Order: sequence, then C-alpha cells, then structure tokens
Amino acid sequence: MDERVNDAAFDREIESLLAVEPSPEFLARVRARVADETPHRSWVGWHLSVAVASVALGLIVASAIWLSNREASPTSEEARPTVAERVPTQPGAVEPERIASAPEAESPSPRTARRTARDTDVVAAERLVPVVNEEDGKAFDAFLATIRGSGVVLTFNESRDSTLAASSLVIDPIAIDPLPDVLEGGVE
Amino acid sequence: MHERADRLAGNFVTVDEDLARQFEARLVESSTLAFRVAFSVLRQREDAEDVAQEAFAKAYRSFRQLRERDRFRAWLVRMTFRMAIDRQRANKRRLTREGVEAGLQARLNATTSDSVLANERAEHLWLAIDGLPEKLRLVIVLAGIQGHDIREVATLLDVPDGTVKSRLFLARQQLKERLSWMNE
Repeated sequence: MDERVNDAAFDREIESLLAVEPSPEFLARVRARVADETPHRSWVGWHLSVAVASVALGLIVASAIWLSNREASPTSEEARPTVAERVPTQPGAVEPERIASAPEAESPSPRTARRTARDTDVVAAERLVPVVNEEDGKAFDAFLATIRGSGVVLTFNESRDSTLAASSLVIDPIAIDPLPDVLEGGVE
Repeated sequence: MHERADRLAGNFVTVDEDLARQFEARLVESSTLAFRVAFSVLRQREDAEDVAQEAFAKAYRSFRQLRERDRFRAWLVRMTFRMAIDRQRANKRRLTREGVEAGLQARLNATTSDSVLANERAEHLWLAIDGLPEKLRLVIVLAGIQGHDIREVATLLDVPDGTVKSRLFLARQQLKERLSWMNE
C-alpha cells in the first residue's frame, strides 16, 4: 500500500514537471513552418508536369513524322525507276519500258516504300551495263514487282563481277579419297 | 476536353485541401504532446518548440503515409523524442566546450533557500530521468504527460501493454534508487 502511494506521489511529481504549455505563438509558428514545405511540393509537381508534357510532345512529333512518311511513300514508289529504266540505252541494249500492270504500284508496303525512297538517289546515279535482253528484262521487272508486293526488298549487286556469265565459270570435279583404316585409340 | 482537365485538376485540389484539413486537425490535437516530449529531454521551452516544429514539418512531408490518427501520434512522439535527444547531445557538446555545465552544477550544489530547494529537487529528478535508458525514459515521460494510461502509452510506442507495465516498473525503481539520498 505504502509502495503504491509512493508511486502515485512519484507520478504526480513527474506530471508536474511535464505540465508545461508551449507559448501562444507556437501553433502559428508550426503552421508557418509547414506552409514553407508547400512550395517544395509544388516544385515537384511542376517538374512532373513538364516531364509529362515533354513525353506527350515527343509522341506527337513522332506520330507526325510517321504519318508524313506514310503519305509520301507512294509518290516515292512511283518515282522509283524499274530495272529497265535504270539501264541506260546503248547500241543493242534493251530499251527501258515500264510495266504498267505490275502490282508494285498498287499496294506497296510502307516498309518497302521507305527503303526504296531512301535508295532512289543512289540507284539513279549508277551506270549499269545491260546484260539482259528485252524479254528477260520485262520478266525480271515483273518478278521484282511481284516480290515487292509481298514485302520483300531486292537490291542490285554492285559488284562488276556480276556481269560474268554463269557458263564462264569452271568448277573442277571434286575427288573424295577413301578414309584411312581406323586404329585402336584413334586415327593415325 | 477542357472540362475533363478542369475536373481532374479539381480532384487534385480537393485531395490537397482534404490532406491540409486532416493535418491541421492532427496539429491541433498533438502539438502539446510533441512539445512536452521535446521539453522532457531539453527542458528549454524555445529548444523544445523548435524541435517540435521541425518534427511537424517532417510529419507533413510524409503525411500521406501518416493519415491514421494513432499512427501519426506514434510517429510524431518517436520522431520528436529522437530529434530532441540529438539536439540535447549537440547542446551538451556546445556547453562542454563553453564550460557552462560545470558552473551550473556548482550553482546547483550551492543553493540553500526553500524556493530554490524545490527547484533543486526538480532538477535532480530531471537528471535522474536523463540517466535512464532511452526506452525506460520515454515510457516514464509519456506516462507523465497528460495522464496517459498504460493503453495509450502502448499505442504511442506501438508495443504491448505488458511491455509498458514492465518498463514503467523498472523506470520507477531506477528513479527511486537514484533519488533515495534525497529522502534520507
């Protein structure tokens, strides 16, 4: 009992030590201090807004570029010369002729169109030597047009060796010697 | 489009205003608690107010995670106590450098009048509380603030009631031992 009374007295003594009130201005000071934190949050929000706006702007620009490429691609395709057009006229050479019925002009894929537009200037500058007759040229143009229509891109081999006739190549016959006898522990 | 944007912005403003209102409520109900926790360590009104103020500023930064009343008060008590201990250590280092602490102790030992004797007893009680381990110190202080009962102290410290009881018992024992010479 005496111990409990002592504890209670002790607790009251500690309570009296802690019964101190803050100054009347304390709350106002805390509110002012907290208000100083607000600009920091606004600053973060402002930076976040700028980042979002930048990403949105980037997406818009990328979409615009993609759309303009898509619209421009058929024109480039039309301007692209056929195999026969690229071949300069020489005595005895095939006269260039465009195959109007080729499916390439009807539905070129965007990917093919972009590549052909990019290659147009390079190809036009080339001076190729004609190696095919008229019929073969037309057939090859038709072949290319068919392939382009299916999304495959073919480019010319720039090597001058490509003018070699296949019949001029000589391949020696291949001789295969019989295998040696297999000894114990491996081949000697 | 503009209407949707305005409505979205309006929602953010509403959320901010709601947060501000909740924080103001927590501030009003917990400001004295934070001040007294800081005062129990520092025993200087201005220092205690500075520490409590900084604790509230920190609480405001993390208020989205501290919206719940009990969680907020528990976090605030621990944060304020920790910041007050840090401030007390810094003050002690400064006083030691300036040689003030020795003068204060000499003045404490030399006092004789009745009014000063009461202050002396209070000062010795404070020194005894300062000498307690931090866990016991915080329990005895919280139990002495605003008549907190065992359950409230347990909630503030996020520990079981039994832990508070045992710590309170140990704290009282140690304080009595330290102050026994005064009752003889």
